[in-house]
Amino acid sequence: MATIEQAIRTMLTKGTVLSAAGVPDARVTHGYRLQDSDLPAVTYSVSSKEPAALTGANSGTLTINCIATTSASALGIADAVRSLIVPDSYDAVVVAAAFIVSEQLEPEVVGLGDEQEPAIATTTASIFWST
Amino acid sequence: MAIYSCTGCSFTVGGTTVPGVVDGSVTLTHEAIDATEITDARRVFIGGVRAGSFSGTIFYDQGNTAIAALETAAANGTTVAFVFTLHSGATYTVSAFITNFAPSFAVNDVMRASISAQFTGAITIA
Repeated sequence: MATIEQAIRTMLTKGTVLSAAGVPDARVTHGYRLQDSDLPAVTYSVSSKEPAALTGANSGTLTINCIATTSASALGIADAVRSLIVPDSYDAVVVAAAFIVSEQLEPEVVGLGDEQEPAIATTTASIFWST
Repeated sequence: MAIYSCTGCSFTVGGTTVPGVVDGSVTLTHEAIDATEITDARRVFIGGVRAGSFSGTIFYDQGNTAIAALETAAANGTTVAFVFTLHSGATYTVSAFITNFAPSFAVNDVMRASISAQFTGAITIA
């Protein structure tokens, strides 16, 4: 049975939107990315999953982190990501409703060696789905 | 005794199951009529009329046949045939007026509609 996590990855890698924004499909990962992996990258997770109706419908919070070396790049990828959050059927999971709840930017940290940190643009959305 | 999960609850309108039920409650009432006389030391009641009602919340989808029937009944003042399944083998069958049909909307939320219905006539409990 397909999971909402699989469905979200299918949603994010649909078409060429993200790859055109500089993020190949292989860099779209659930939960985390390896520390030394290439940037830019996108990670996502679904939390607070719970039944939304007596039968059939579920709800949860989708969090997507767009990670890049600069704030401008991270924000650009986040714009592309938001255009992909569209209700549809993905891997037999029907995403019935999805809407953006919040957006946040953590700017990059400039420094030497380990002091450097990438910028992270986080988008949070509420999603409703059924399987 | 058995304990039932609410996942087995559902209700139909005109034979069609209403989808996306968020919550609901059915209330059966029996009025108590005060028949106390001046010589009584305790209050005396006799049974009055009985009634029933339903209230609940669903995800609003006008394209759904059952939900559209509820909306139309509310607008036209007509009755609809309800069958409430409380758990396997436990049903209430009744005709009702829709006394309240209220779609609601808000920022960062999905559309829901709250429904209230007043039962009319006998309630068949099976």
